[in-house]
Amino acid sequence: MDLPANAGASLPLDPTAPTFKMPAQPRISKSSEPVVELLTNGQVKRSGSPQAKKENQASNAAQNISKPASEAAPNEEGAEKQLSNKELKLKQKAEKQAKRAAQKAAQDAEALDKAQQQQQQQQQQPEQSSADQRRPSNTGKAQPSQGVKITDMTTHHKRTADTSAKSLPIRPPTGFTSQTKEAEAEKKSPPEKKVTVFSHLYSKDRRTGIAGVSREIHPAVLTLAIQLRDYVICGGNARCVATLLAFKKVIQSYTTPPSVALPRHLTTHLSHQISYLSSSRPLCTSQGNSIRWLKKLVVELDPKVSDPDARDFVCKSIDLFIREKVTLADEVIAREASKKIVNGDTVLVYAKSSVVEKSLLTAYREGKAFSVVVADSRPLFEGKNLARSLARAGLRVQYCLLTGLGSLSKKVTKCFLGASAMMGNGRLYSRAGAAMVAMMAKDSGGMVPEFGAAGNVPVIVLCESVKFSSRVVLDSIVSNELGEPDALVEHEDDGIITPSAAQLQAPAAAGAKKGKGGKADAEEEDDSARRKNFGLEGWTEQPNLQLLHLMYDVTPAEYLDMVITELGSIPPSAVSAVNGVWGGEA
Amino acid sequence: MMADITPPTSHATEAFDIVSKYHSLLSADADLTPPIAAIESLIALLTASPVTTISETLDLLSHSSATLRSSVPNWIALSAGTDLFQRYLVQTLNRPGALGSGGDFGYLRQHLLSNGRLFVQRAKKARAKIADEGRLFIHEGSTILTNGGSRVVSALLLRAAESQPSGPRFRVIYVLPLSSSSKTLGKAEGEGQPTITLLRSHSVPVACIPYSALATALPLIDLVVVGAEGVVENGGIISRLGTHQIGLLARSAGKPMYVAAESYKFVRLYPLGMSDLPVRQNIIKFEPVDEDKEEEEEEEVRAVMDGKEKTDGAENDETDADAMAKRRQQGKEITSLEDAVDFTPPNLISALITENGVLTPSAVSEELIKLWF
Repeated sequence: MDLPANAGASLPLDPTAPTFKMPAQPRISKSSEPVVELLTNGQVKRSGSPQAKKENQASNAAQNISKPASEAAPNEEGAEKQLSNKELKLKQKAEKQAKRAAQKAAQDAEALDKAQQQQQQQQQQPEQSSADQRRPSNTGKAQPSQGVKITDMTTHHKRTADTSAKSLPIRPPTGFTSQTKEAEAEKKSPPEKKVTVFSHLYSKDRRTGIAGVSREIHPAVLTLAIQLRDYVICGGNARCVATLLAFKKVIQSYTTPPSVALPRHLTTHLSHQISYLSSSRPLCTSQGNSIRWLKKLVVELDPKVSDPDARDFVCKSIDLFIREKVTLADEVIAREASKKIVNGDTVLVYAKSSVVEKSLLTAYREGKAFSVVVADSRPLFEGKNLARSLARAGLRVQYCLLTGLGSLSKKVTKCFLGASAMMGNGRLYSRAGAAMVAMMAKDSGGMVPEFGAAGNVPVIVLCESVKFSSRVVLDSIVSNELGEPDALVEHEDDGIITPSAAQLQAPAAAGAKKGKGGKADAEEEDDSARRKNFGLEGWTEQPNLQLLHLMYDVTPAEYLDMVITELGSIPPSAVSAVNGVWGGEA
Repeated sequence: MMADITPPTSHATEAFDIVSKYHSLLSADADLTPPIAAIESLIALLTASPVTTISETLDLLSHSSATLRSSVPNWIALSAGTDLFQRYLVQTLNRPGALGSGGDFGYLRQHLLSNGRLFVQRAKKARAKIADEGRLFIHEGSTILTNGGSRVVSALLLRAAESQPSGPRFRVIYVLPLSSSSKTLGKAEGEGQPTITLLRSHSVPVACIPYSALATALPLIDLVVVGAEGVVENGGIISRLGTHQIGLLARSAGKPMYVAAESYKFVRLYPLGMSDLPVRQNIIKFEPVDEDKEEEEEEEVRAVMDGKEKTDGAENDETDADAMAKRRQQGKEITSLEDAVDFTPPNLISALITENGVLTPSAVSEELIKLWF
């Protein structure tokens, strides 16, 4: 049984103290466990009996391991869809639920469970109906539940954090927690938790909820915004494609008001959508570039062209853009990059990039004999996804965290990095940690197969030209993105740090990531005992403790040997030249 | 860059032997460089063959470029010329109104040929321009280190000697590969002999050293000037074997290294390092200890010098035959020491002296992007 909320105040670092990341219900009583599972799994499942638990885990294991990548991807996506649905619904009815849950705290677990199921059914009905009768955004009052409709995305561009279930505890649906008691608790918490050097990166309105949104915002954009916010869609390519697809829907359902020219009005209409998107998560370079392209396209439309024709033209252009700049570009890059892999290579990659994955798989399919070292880091663990998909394909994969890179980098012969952006001065802007990986490869890297000499591993960046930026970046302080600091707080799930603990959890291995919903009550007791070992839970109450979660870093051009784009291979110094020729970001 | 040899489509062109044309051009004019010879042979091919359509022309060119490439062990310099010519052709064809008012292919062909010849003439003048640019780097009283048989470097040094008002007041240290005939100190000889004679005739003091004396000579010199066979996309150069080590030593001593190269030597190639070069040369050969090792070694040196393929002992016969078959499939291998090349990375190069001006290594990719995109 958890302690009451105010108990944490006297013990600043007590792990049971409330942190604003936890949803309201789980702390009310232990019988609210199914609610957690509802959140993480997207399914209502009672996990009371050990039998049921095992089944649950078995099914999870089957999902995670046995299926080949192609099948698993849609599966994962489905889970995410459900997930974000739940989030939305929960958010939408947050206060109602809080009240209900409080009442139900007195009742026994089964009753709660039933109620939960009913509630869910109730929620699903309006969602389906609204999805069926979708209307353009400018018809009357925008219903929040419209945003539940998910954009249909091509799966291969998707990148998610390790598992969908994992991403949730890291990234709680704070939109609704802010409306509950914890919001008040947060207000009371004395110091502002900002690291001064990075204070310019904290934005107040970052987490826009769905409430109070202007009626101009299209449901597709609302959906996308929430998916972006919760990292359901992450990675430069996926974000770029999803944005364009959402805008395609916006344009499809757009009608020009009387006495206004389409090029003029549509641009302002799009601007609203864009600013809403950027408030959910700062736009990345690929998004920015594609949006700039789209705006230019719209502005240059002939005002005399009729609405349907113009819409048709823009939508077709968007499809073409996605095809040329992302899909085909990736193919070309993968082909070029796979040429650089020779037999006997050990390729070091970091975190996850769709184009790096594609290149490695292409090289493998070409029959090259090489192995891969996947370096990864907390808290997103994106590399797990990559390691899994490569291993499934049959590649030899070694997985390590950044901390273990020192010993593994000795045998590395090449290093492939994905990019969020290539900057005008040839620097690479990528997932935090990439700079460290590049420097490790360059300075303490391995041996060239033919010569057996140490050092100087070629670092190759794979980057579509849509990610090229003309901005000059010198460090990763001036422009960066802050992640949720709570993600750095360790959770009970991460507890497998000793072999004995691993053995203990081995039967539950597959379910371990699914949160405590997958655990029996007896284990729960152990957990609460062990949880005391983690130190950062009450960091908000600790006045002299700040957490900083940076999302990106900048790798100096000296550490990069080559940038492979769909236009060819160029040295990092030529990024600006390519920008000039291709009229990229001016 | 084309990877594969396209199958021959027209047999009418068989009569014209592009390979022999290329070699005869090279041997006829000692001043001719491989890229220009390649372009000239392609022009000669176009003149000789009765092509009537654009696609036929492009096909013929790509096919014969591939033939030409596979006929020589080191095709890097050559491919700079053939790629450039093909690119130029495509650009000309894409230009609106390329076919003239009547849409006549014959007109276009004539235009191409005359422009191609113009290009060759201009390329030949490039060397003089580079010499003009480069002489400014050679100050009075300085000592210059160079290697190889680069015609551009030779022109540059001569131009500097002529232009200095009170006679040449600089010295040249020429690094030569140590050959078996010169065992006396200060008497190295090799590829650069004509340049050395020419420089001495202009009363420029020239010292000849082997590669083993590089570090000893280093404190004396003020700058390094080398030529290049090809300049790759990241600004690195492919040059005579040993240039890389000159670069490394110069860098370690803080001396600048300049590369004199015509811009038609820019290749669309991006090697990550020596092991990534598309030429096959077996420089480092691990061999088990043999009883009559010394004899064999001597034999080997002689064989290498003669440019002949060395066949190993009887026990290796089968594997060697396999390897040879493979080699034949992949193209020729560089066997002579004089033809062997290495790759000097751009970070060792201070600047490239081209006819378009003095460029930093990173500007090479910009020039190539301008040309290719």
